[in-house]
Amino acid sequence: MRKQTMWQLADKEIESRLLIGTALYPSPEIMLESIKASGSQVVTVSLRRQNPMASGGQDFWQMIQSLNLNLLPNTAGCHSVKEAVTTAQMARELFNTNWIKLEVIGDDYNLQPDPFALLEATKELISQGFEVFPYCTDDLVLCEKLVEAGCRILMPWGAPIGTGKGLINPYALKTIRERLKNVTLIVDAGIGAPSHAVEAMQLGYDGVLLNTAIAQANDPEKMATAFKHAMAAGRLAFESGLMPERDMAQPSTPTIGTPFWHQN
Amino acid sequence: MPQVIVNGQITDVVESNLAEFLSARQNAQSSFAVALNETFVPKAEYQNTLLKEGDRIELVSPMQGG
Repeated sequence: MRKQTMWQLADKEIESRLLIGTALYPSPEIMLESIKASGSQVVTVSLRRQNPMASGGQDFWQMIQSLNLNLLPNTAGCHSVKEAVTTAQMARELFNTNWIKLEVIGDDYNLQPDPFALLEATKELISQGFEVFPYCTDDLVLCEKLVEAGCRILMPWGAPIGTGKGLINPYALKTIRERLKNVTLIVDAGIGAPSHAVEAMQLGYDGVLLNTAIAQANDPEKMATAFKHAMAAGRLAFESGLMPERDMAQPSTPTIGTPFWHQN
Repeated sequence: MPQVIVNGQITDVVESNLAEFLSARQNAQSSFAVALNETFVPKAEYQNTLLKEGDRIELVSPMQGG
Protein backbone atom coordinates (compact mmCIF):
# COMPACT_ATOMS: atom_id res chain seq x y z
CA MET A 1 0.00 0.00 0.00
CA ARG A 2 1.27 3.47 -0.88
CA LYS A 3 2.73 5.22 2.14
CA GLN A 4 0.58 8.07 3.40
CA THR A 5 2.06 11.48 3.99
CA MET A 6 2.39 12.80 7.52
CA TRP A 7 -0.12 15.28 8.86
CA GLN A 8 -0.36 17.54 11.85
CA LEU A 9 -2.81 16.76 14.64
CA ALA A 10 -2.51 19.42 17.33
CA ASP A 11 1.15 19.29 18.39
CA LYS A 12 1.83 15.84 16.90
CA GLU A 13 2.89 14.74 13.45
CA ILE A 14 1.35 11.41 12.59
CA GLU A 15 0.66 9.28 9.54
CA SER A 16 -2.70 7.56 10.05
CA ARG A 17 -5.82 9.68 9.69
CA LEU A 18 -7.98 7.18 11.54
CA LEU A 19 -8.74 7.77 15.21
CA ILE A 20 -10.15 4.71 16.91
CA GLY A 21 -12.16 3.97 20.03
CA THR A 22 -11.35 1.27 22.57
CA ALA A 23 -14.88 0.27 23.62
CA LEU A 24 -17.35 -2.46 22.66
CA TYR A 25 -14.88 -5.10 21.40
CA PRO A 26 -15.69 -8.76 22.06
CA SER A 27 -12.49 -9.09 24.11
CA PRO A 28 -9.45 -7.03 25.14
CA GLU A 29 -7.26 -9.15 22.86
CA ILE A 30 -9.47 -8.45 19.84
CA MET A 31 -9.38 -4.75 20.76
CA LEU A 32 -5.58 -4.78 20.72
CA GLU A 33 -5.33 -6.65 17.42
CA SER A 34 -7.96 -4.41 15.81
CA ILE A 35 -6.19 -1.23 16.86
CA LYS A 36 -2.94 -2.57 15.47
CA ALA A 37 -4.61 -3.62 12.21
CA SER A 38 -6.22 -0.19 11.80
CA GLY A 39 -2.83 1.50 11.81
CA SER A 40 -4.33 4.22 13.99
CA GLN A 41 -1.98 6.28 16.11
CA VAL A 42 -4.67 7.92 18.24
CA VAL A 43 -6.99 5.97 20.52
CA THR A 44 -9.86 7.32 22.56
CA VAL A 45 -10.21 6.36 26.19
CA SER A 46 -12.50 7.31 29.02
CA LEU A 47 -12.72 7.28 32.77
CA ARG A 48 -15.36 5.79 34.98
CA ARG A 49 -16.04 5.20 38.63
CA GLN A 50 -13.51 2.75 39.94
CA ASN A 51 -14.77 -0.78 40.15
CA PRO A 52 -12.70 -2.91 42.55
CA MET A 53 -14.10 -6.05 40.87
CA ALA A 54 -12.51 -4.98 37.58
CA SER A 55 -9.07 -4.34 39.11
CA GLY A 56 -9.75 -0.63 39.03
CA GLY A 57 -9.23 -0.40 35.26
CA GLN A 58 -5.59 -1.35 35.71
CA ASP A 59 -5.55 -4.23 33.20
CA PHE A 60 -7.09 -2.07 30.49
CA TRP A 61 -4.72 0.77 31.25
CA GLN A 62 -1.63 -1.44 31.01
CA MET A 63 -2.88 -2.86 27.73
CA ILE A 64 -3.40 0.60 26.24
CA GLN A 65 -0.04 1.80 27.46
CA SER A 66 1.62 -1.17 25.76
CA LEU A 67 0.44 0.20 22.40
CA ASN A 68 2.43 3.41 22.92
CA LEU A 69 -0.06 5.50 20.94
CA ASN A 70 -1.46 8.99 21.44
CA LEU A 71 -4.36 9.03 23.88
CA LEU A 72 -7.48 11.09 23.42
CA PRO A 73 -9.56 10.93 26.62
CA ASN A 74 -13.22 11.79 26.33
CA THR A 75 -15.86 13.31 28.58
CA ALA A 76 -18.55 10.86 27.46
CA GLY A 77 -21.73 10.95 29.50
CA CYS A 78 -21.33 14.52 30.72
CA HIS A 79 -24.44 16.67 30.52
CA SER A 80 -23.23 19.94 32.02
CA VAL A 81 -20.30 22.31 31.74
CA LYS A 82 -19.25 21.57 35.31
CA GLU A 83 -19.25 17.79 34.81
CA ALA A 84 -17.34 18.09 31.55
CA VAL A 85 -14.69 20.45 32.94
CA THR A 86 -14.12 18.32 36.06
CA THR A 87 -13.95 15.14 33.98
CA ALA A 88 -11.44 16.77 31.63
CA GLN A 89 -9.29 17.83 34.57
CA MET A 90 -9.33 14.30 35.99
CA ALA A 91 -8.50 12.89 32.55
CA ARG A 92 -5.54 15.23 32.15
CA GLU A 93 -3.99 13.98 35.36
CA LEU A 94 -4.87 10.33 34.79
CA PHE A 95 -3.73 10.06 31.18
CA ASN A 96 -1.02 12.70 31.33
CA THR A 97 -2.22 14.59 28.26
CA ASN A 98 -3.87 17.95 27.68
CA TRP A 99 -5.89 16.51 24.79
CA ILE A 100 -9.59 16.14 25.50
CA LYS A 101 -12.43 14.95 23.31
CA LEU A 102 -15.07 17.21 24.72
CA GLU A 103 -18.57 15.75 24.79
CA VAL A 104 -21.43 17.56 26.46
CA ILE A 105 -24.62 15.73 25.68
CA GLY A 106 -27.80 17.76 25.26
CA ASP A 107 -30.31 15.07 24.37
CA ASP A 108 -30.36 11.46 25.49
CA TYR A 109 -32.35 10.18 22.52
CA ASN A 110 -29.78 10.95 19.85
CA LEU A 111 -26.88 11.88 22.14
CA GLN A 112 -26.71 15.19 20.34
CA PRO A 113 -24.14 17.61 21.74
CA ASP A 114 -25.49 20.63 23.60
CA PRO A 115 -23.97 23.43 21.49
CA PHE A 116 -24.31 26.10 24.17
CA ALA A 117 -22.75 24.08 26.99
CA LEU A 118 -20.11 22.76 24.58
CA LEU A 119 -18.99 26.27 23.69
CA GLU A 120 -18.91 27.36 27.33
CA ALA A 121 -16.92 24.29 28.41
CA THR A 122 -14.56 24.76 25.47
CA LYS A 123 -13.76 28.33 26.51
CA GLU A 124 -13.08 27.26 30.08
CA LEU A 125 -10.88 24.32 29.13
CA ILE A 126 -8.85 26.30 26.59
CA SER A 127 -8.22 28.92 29.29
CA GLN A 128 -6.84 26.06 31.40
CA GLY A 129 -4.42 24.94 28.68
CA PHE A 130 -6.34 22.03 27.18
CA GLU A 131 -6.23 21.07 23.50
CA VAL A 132 -9.96 20.72 22.99
CA PHE A 133 -11.31 18.31 20.36
CA PRO A 134 -15.00 19.27 20.53
CA TYR A 135 -17.55 16.65 19.46
CA CYS A 136 -20.08 18.94 17.81
CA THR A 137 -22.96 18.94 15.40
CA ASP A 138 -22.53 20.00 11.78
CA ASP A 139 -23.82 23.51 12.49
CA LEU A 140 -21.52 25.95 10.70
CA VAL A 141 -22.08 28.83 13.12
CA LEU A 142 -21.32 26.64 16.13
CA CYS A 143 -18.15 25.47 14.40
CA GLU A 144 -17.13 29.06 13.74
CA LYS A 145 -17.76 30.01 17.38
CA LEU A 146 -15.65 27.07 18.56
CA VAL A 147 -12.80 28.23 16.32
CA GLU A 148 -13.17 31.77 17.67
CA ALA A 149 -12.92 30.28 21.16
CA GLY A 150 -9.53 28.85 20.22
CA CYS A 151 -10.18 25.36 18.83
CA ARG A 152 -7.67 24.19 16.22
CA ILE A 153 -9.59 20.97 15.75
CA LEU A 154 -13.30 20.34 15.27
CA MET A 155 -15.10 17.02 15.27
CA PRO A 156 -18.57 17.36 13.74
CA TRP A 157 -20.75 14.28 13.75
CA GLY A 158 -21.48 12.25 10.65
CA ALA A 159 -24.57 10.86 12.38
CA PRO A 160 -25.54 10.18 16.00
CA ILE A 161 -23.14 7.99 17.99
CA GLY A 162 -23.46 4.28 17.31
CA THR A 163 -26.03 4.58 14.51
CA GLY A 164 -23.73 3.66 11.65
CA LYS A 165 -25.78 5.82 9.29
CA GLY A 166 -22.78 7.47 7.67
CA LEU A 167 -22.76 11.12 6.63
CA ILE A 168 -26.40 12.14 6.93
CA ASN A 169 -25.72 15.72 5.88
CA PRO A 170 -22.79 15.82 3.46
CA TYR A 171 -23.78 19.33 2.39
CA ALA A 172 -23.29 20.68 5.91
CA LEU A 173 -19.97 18.90 6.32
CA LYS A 174 -18.80 20.17 2.94
CA THR A 175 -19.77 23.72 3.87
CA ILE A 176 -17.78 23.51 7.10
CA ARG A 177 -14.77 22.28 5.13
CA GLU A 178 -15.09 25.15 2.67
CA ARG A 179 -15.57 27.83 5.31
CA LEU A 180 -12.92 26.62 7.77
CA LYS A 181 -10.01 25.80 5.50
CA ASN A 182 -7.28 26.06 8.12
CA VAL A 183 -8.98 24.05 10.85
CA THR A 184 -8.31 20.36 11.38
CA LEU A 185 -11.64 18.65 10.73
CA ILE A 186 -12.43 15.15 11.86
CA VAL A 187 -15.74 13.40 11.29
CA ASP A 188 -16.64 11.83 14.61
CA ALA A 189 -19.48 9.38 15.15
CA GLY A 190 -22.01 7.76 12.91
CA ILE A 191 -19.56 6.01 10.60
CA GLY A 192 -20.85 2.51 9.85
CA ALA A 193 -18.90 1.33 6.82
CA PRO A 194 -15.55 1.95 5.16
CA SER A 195 -17.41 3.68 2.31
CA HIS A 196 -18.56 6.34 4.80
CA ALA A 197 -14.95 6.98 5.78
CA VAL A 198 -14.00 7.28 2.12
CA GLU A 199 -16.78 9.82 1.63
CA ALA A 200 -15.59 11.91 4.58
CA MET A 201 -12.03 11.89 3.32
CA GLN A 202 -13.12 12.77 -0.21
CA LEU A 203 -14.78 15.86 1.23
CA GLY A 204 -11.36 16.96 2.37
CA TYR A 205 -11.74 16.07 6.01
CA ASP A 206 -8.45 15.53 7.79
CA GLY A 207 -9.50 12.44 9.68
CA VAL A 208 -12.24 10.15 10.91
CA LEU A 209 -12.93 8.96 14.44
CA LEU A 210 -14.92 5.79 14.91
CA ASN A 211 -15.43 2.90 17.28
CA THR A 212 -18.57 0.81 16.83
CA ALA A 213 -18.13 0.10 13.11
CA ILE A 214 -14.95 -1.83 13.86
CA ALA A 215 -15.67 -3.12 17.36
CA GLN A 216 -19.08 -4.56 16.46
CA ALA A 217 -18.14 -6.07 13.10
CA ASN A 218 -18.22 -9.85 12.87
CA ASP A 219 -14.47 -9.75 12.41
CA PRO A 220 -13.19 -6.51 14.00
CA GLU A 221 -9.57 -7.04 13.03
CA LYS A 222 -10.46 -7.53 9.37
CA MET A 223 -12.81 -4.54 9.45
CA ALA A 224 -10.03 -2.44 10.97
CA THR A 225 -7.89 -3.35 7.98
CA ALA A 226 -10.74 -2.39 5.65
CA PHE A 227 -10.97 1.03 7.33
CA LYS A 228 -7.22 1.50 7.07
CA HIS A 229 -7.46 1.03 3.29
CA ALA A 230 -10.60 3.19 3.09
CA MET A 231 -8.86 6.08 4.80
CA ALA A 232 -5.93 5.86 2.42
CA ALA A 233 -8.23 5.59 -0.62
CA GLY A 234 -10.38 8.53 0.44
CA ARG A 235 -7.40 10.76 1.14
CA LEU A 236 -5.68 9.88 -2.14
CA ALA A 237 -8.93 10.57 -4.00
CA PHE A 238 -9.20 13.98 -2.36
CA GLU A 239 -5.58 14.83 -3.14
CA SER A 240 -6.06 13.64 -6.73
CA GLY A 241 -9.10 15.87 -7.31
CA LEU A 242 -12.39 14.26 -8.23
CA MET A 243 -13.84 14.78 -11.68
CA PRO A 244 -16.79 17.18 -11.87
CA GLU A 245 -20.20 15.52 -11.72
CA ARG A 246 -22.38 15.92 -14.85
CA ASP A 247 -26.03 15.27 -15.58
CA MET A 248 -25.49 14.33 -19.24
CA ALA A 249 -23.69 11.24 -20.40
CA GLN A 250 -20.44 11.77 -22.22
CA PRO A 251 -18.78 8.83 -24.00
CA SER A 252 -15.42 7.86 -22.65
CA THR A 253 -14.41 5.95 -25.80
CA PRO A 254 -13.50 8.30 -28.69
CA THR A 255 -16.32 8.57 -31.22
CA ILE A 256 -14.14 9.53 -34.17
CA GLY A 257 -13.59 6.52 -36.41
CA THR A 258 -16.43 4.51 -34.93
CA PRO A 259 -17.26 1.70 -37.43
CA PHE A 260 -20.74 1.65 -38.90
CA TRP A 261 -20.98 5.38 -38.01
CA HIS A 262 -24.27 6.94 -39.03
CA GLN A 263 -24.43 10.72 -39.26
CA ASN A 264 -27.77 11.84 -37.77
CA MET B 1 -18.00 8.25 62.74
CA PRO B 2 -18.33 10.68 59.81
CA GLN B 3 -19.78 9.38 56.61
CA VAL B 4 -18.90 10.38 53.04
CA ILE B 5 -20.30 9.21 49.72
CA VAL B 6 -17.75 7.40 47.56
CA ASN B 7 -18.87 6.72 44.00
CA GLY B 8 -22.47 6.88 45.17
CA GLN B 9 -21.95 4.58 48.17
CA ILE B 10 -22.20 5.78 51.78
CA THR B 11 -18.87 5.03 53.44
CA ASP B 12 -17.60 5.46 57.02
CA VAL B 13 -14.34 7.34 57.30
CA VAL B 14 -11.83 7.43 60.10
CA GLU B 15 -9.21 9.34 58.13
CA SER B 16 -9.14 13.11 58.35
CA ASN B 17 -7.75 13.97 54.94
CA LEU B 18 -7.98 12.69 51.38
CA ALA B 19 -4.39 11.39 51.27
CA GLU B 20 -4.98 9.11 54.26
CA PHE B 21 -8.36 8.05 52.96
CA LEU B 22 -6.92 7.04 49.58
CA SER B 23 -3.82 5.33 50.88
CA ALA B 24 -6.04 3.06 52.95
CA ARG B 25 -8.03 2.05 49.87
CA GLN B 26 -5.66 2.19 46.88
CA ASN B 27 -2.54 0.18 46.19
CA ALA B 28 0.54 1.99 44.99
CA GLN B 29 0.17 0.85 41.38
CA SER B 30 -3.43 1.85 40.80
CA SER B 31 -4.24 4.69 38.46
CA PHE B 32 -7.01 6.97 39.60
CA ALA B 33 -8.14 10.57 39.78
CA VAL B 34 -10.40 12.24 42.29
CA ALA B 35 -13.14 14.83 42.42
CA LEU B 36 -14.55 16.09 45.70
CA ASN B 37 -18.03 17.59 45.59
CA GLU B 38 -17.78 17.79 41.79
CA THR B 39 -14.46 19.65 41.90
CA PHE B 40 -11.23 18.06 40.69
CA VAL B 41 -8.58 17.54 43.35
CA PRO B 42 -5.01 17.29 41.98
CA LYS B 43 -2.75 14.67 43.55
CA ALA B 44 -0.61 17.39 45.12
CA GLU B 45 -3.65 18.59 47.09
CA TYR B 46 -4.67 15.28 48.68
CA GLN B 47 -2.75 15.96 51.88
CA ASN B 48 -4.34 19.38 52.35
CA THR B 49 -7.87 18.26 51.54
CA LEU B 50 -9.81 17.62 54.74
CA LEU B 51 -12.85 15.36 54.68
CA LYS B 52 -16.11 16.27 56.32
CA GLU B 53 -19.52 14.72 56.82
CA GLY B 54 -21.49 14.35 53.59
CA ASP B 55 -18.57 14.93 51.20
CA ARG B 56 -19.08 13.34 47.80
CA ILE B 57 -15.97 11.67 46.44
CA GLU B 58 -15.69 10.50 42.85
CA LEU B 59 -12.86 8.04 42.35
CA VAL B 60 -12.27 7.25 38.67
CA SER B 61 -10.00 4.95 36.70
CA PRO B 62 -9.09 4.47 33.03
CA MET B 63 -11.83 2.82 31.04
CA GLN B 64 -12.61 1.94 27.44
CA GLY B 65 -14.10 4.81 25.48
CA GLY B 66 -15.21 5.83 22.03
